[in-house]
Amino acid sequence: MNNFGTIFLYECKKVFLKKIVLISSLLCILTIVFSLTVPFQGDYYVDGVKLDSNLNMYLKDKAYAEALDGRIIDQALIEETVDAYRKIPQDPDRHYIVTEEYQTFARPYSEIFNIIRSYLNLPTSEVMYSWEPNEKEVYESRRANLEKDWENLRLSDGEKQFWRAQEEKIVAPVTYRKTHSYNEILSVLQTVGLAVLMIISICLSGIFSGEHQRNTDSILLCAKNGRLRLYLAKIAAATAFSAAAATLFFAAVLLTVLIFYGADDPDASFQLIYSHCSDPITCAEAVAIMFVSLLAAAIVTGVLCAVLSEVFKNGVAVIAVMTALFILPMFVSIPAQYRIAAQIWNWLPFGFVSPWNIFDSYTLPIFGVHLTPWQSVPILYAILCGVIAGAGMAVYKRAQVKGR
Amino acid sequence: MELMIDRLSKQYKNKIAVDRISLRLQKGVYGLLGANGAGKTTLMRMVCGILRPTGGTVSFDDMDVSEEGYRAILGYLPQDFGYYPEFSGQDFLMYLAALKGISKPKAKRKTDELLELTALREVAKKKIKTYSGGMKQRLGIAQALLNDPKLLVLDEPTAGLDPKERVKFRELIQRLGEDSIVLLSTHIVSDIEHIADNVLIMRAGQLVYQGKWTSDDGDLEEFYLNKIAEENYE
Repeated sequence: MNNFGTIFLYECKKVFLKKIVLISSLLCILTIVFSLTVPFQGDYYVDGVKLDSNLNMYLKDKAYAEALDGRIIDQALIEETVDAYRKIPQDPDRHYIVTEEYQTFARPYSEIFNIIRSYLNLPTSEVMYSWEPNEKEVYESRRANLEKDWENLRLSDGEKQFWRAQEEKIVAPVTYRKTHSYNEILSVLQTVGLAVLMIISICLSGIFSGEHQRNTDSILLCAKNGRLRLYLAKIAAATAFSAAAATLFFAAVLLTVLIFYGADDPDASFQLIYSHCSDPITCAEAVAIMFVSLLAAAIVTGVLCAVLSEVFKNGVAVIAVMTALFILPMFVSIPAQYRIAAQIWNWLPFGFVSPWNIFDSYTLPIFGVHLTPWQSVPILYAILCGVIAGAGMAVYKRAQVKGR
Repeated sequence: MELMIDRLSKQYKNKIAVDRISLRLQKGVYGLLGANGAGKTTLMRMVCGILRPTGGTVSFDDMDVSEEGYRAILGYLPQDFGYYPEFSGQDFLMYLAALKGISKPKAKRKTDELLELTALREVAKKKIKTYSGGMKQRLGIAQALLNDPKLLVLDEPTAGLDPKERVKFRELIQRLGEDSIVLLSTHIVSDIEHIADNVLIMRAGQLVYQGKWTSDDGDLEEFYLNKIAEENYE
């Protein structure tokens, strides 16, 4: 009998029933709820003067956004928006937000104004006072800015062609939809993703090393299924734990957003909240992609952590290495001129929890087909998991009980 | 049924822990005596396949120590027996039964039987962290017997057992020795005197005595001390 299923369940029990799992999960969920409800807490200040409570600010903006929901961002709406903003007096000593004119006329259009500004990539004051409303220019500027980005990112001609073809699939002019809930998901994804990876690193650091430190390795290694099957069961348990952690915390984000922000239109264009993305996808599809990407990053981190646990035979050493990998992307970024290195760096698990890396413009060309980051990285991670697990197996097969 | 140990050696940098030991063990109980650092645990670990020898081989009926088949007939109680504090005694045995390749129904039956045998039935569902030292040691003995091993290696099995438990344990070992090879090490010479058919004495990694021992041969403890003293003198 190989008893793989039973061994796997016991390995899961060892990992899931640790106190640290419960404590870190509760802390992480509390952090998620707290960060997502920050917009409702405290007051909104401009130049040291309280404007309103954050909750009221949000409720007003929500009502304005709902009033605009379903309108096409075309010449008429752009003109309406700019006209409303032009009513704000030009006063360099006062922030425009505190003016009566902004609150009365412009604020109901702030959502549209922000989209126009991000598409044009122009300073706020220029859009408000000197830019002539022009629908065509808004959408063409976005395309022109993307072309510049692609040049800066050193994309190949093939990649540029691929993205141009993708851009053709994006409907313009775009229909405005209230997207507050998706905005919030996008804004917390990196923090939540990094928290998930850290929890995985901490909780799995002892999956193999704990056996050596607890002296249980003696009885495990001399059992019939104590070598290959136990190793695979532990890797499977690490994978299951990582997937469960990613699912639990992503679900916590979705649930919190749903409770506090409600459900927005799933068919809203993703370009409404992330104008730099050239994937012709909806907001709901983007959320699904972010979940799959987090899942993939979590699993590869879990497998790496498990293997390091066997290599170092010391949980603290594993946490130290994983923390270094976790901190490094915060301080180091590779310039786009080193194209391949930058792409690899962005696609490493600790970087790939960021939406801007999931939806960036680097592609993986295979047999003339360009795979986007979210299409290629999960596949690459699956291969990487196999390689890491294979290397770990070679180490585990040679494991011995020494010293003591 | 034969355990063959052929010129088995283990060297750590400048120290030879086990020095070319050769043995052929058949059914019966073998008591391994030796002072601390004599190489008993190192020898037992190599016999169990959890420590790679520097030289020599270990096989059981032509099965090499590295094979899965060898591990299937092996039962091992290490000196530094480790456990999972959050597991219950029953869970611990069921987990190890799965690792030993025993089917679930048989594992359940065997677990119940061994919990009874080691007087742990009452605490079977309690977490191991609540067990006393003696209870943990009995649990260790139970796990070693889960797969009805043909080769049973016990490193200091009586440590932590009270006198009554030791007597019960001796009887158990004697019974097991009728159908399998039992290799046990202990500091308590009287344990070996009572149950071992054969005595092995190690000193500085070498086997300095190997032979049968009966009460007619005299006091084993005295013999052992003399042997060690004799070796020291040499």
